[in-house]
Amino acid sequence: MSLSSVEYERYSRQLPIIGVEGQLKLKKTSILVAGAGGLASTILYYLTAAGVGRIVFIDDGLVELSNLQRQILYNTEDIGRPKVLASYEKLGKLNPGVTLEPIQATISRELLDKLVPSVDIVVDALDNWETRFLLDESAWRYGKPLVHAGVGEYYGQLTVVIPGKTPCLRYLFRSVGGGERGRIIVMAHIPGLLGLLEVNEVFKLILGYGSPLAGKILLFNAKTPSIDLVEVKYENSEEIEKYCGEPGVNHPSRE
Amino acid sequence: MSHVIKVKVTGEQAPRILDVGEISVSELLRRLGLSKSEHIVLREGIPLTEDDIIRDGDEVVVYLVKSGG
Repeated sequence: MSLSSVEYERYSRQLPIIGVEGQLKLKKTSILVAGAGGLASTILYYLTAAGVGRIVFIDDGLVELSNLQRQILYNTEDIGRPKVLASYEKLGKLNPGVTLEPIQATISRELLDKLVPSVDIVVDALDNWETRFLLDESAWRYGKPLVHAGVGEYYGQLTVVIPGKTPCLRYLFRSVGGGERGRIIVMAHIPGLLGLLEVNEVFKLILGYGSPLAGKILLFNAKTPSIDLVEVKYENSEEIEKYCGEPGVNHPSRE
Repeated sequence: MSHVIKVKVTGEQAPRILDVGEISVSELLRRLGLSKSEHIVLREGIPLTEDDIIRDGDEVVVYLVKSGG
């Protein structure tokens, strides 16, 4: 695999930092983004712009007027259209060199079992705990790193799960559950902020700069404003397995 | 004889002190008026389940977490 002359020009502002080798790593990477709402709007834009090779994204929703306050992938003309279709068109125009695989479907264990093994990294851009824990379970079982964020009002949190190295999301958030689905109350810019922080974690995992936010939870408060980092501990590995099961092995999806 | 369970709730300056011998995580959140779906409770950095018991002398921290996207 190599870079074309067009790619050298397109990525010329990041090539001095990550090199051709880094750009090729991005190009070889396959990512699953679960959800196509507020978090995903920035995630999908930047993964596409930066030249990630293959992006699979799932959502069953249609664009609604109330989405447009924060879901910047869409515009007024998209109202009533499937989100993944509207995303696909915009992202394809942004970077035709990226393989985009939109899937309009409700996320289920069966669907994830088909999709997760074919990617390198899983990104959580969902809007409820129940589906998040399904995604977490699947990513863990197939040994894929999971980048998580959640948002609401003026707040958000972020963490990275690496099977075999950190506890799974279900363990980290084992006392939470329930809550209302669907109607998200949040300031317009908060999903964008946390979505960008998720993108940063994805790039760290691919390119190896810095250290991923593994075993720690970043808590963002836009009012204070403050960012707190919480280091999460666990009693023993048996306790992790009780909640997470045995971690799978991450087989690279593509050569 | 008084008991002390010290609870730090993120975003609040002073810790809250509960005068109880022991209390479950779910009851703690109920007493503090905090929803189960939006808070996690850690003791010495270890996330607790809703059934875990917090005892006299324990110090716990409650963090706000969100599920929206």
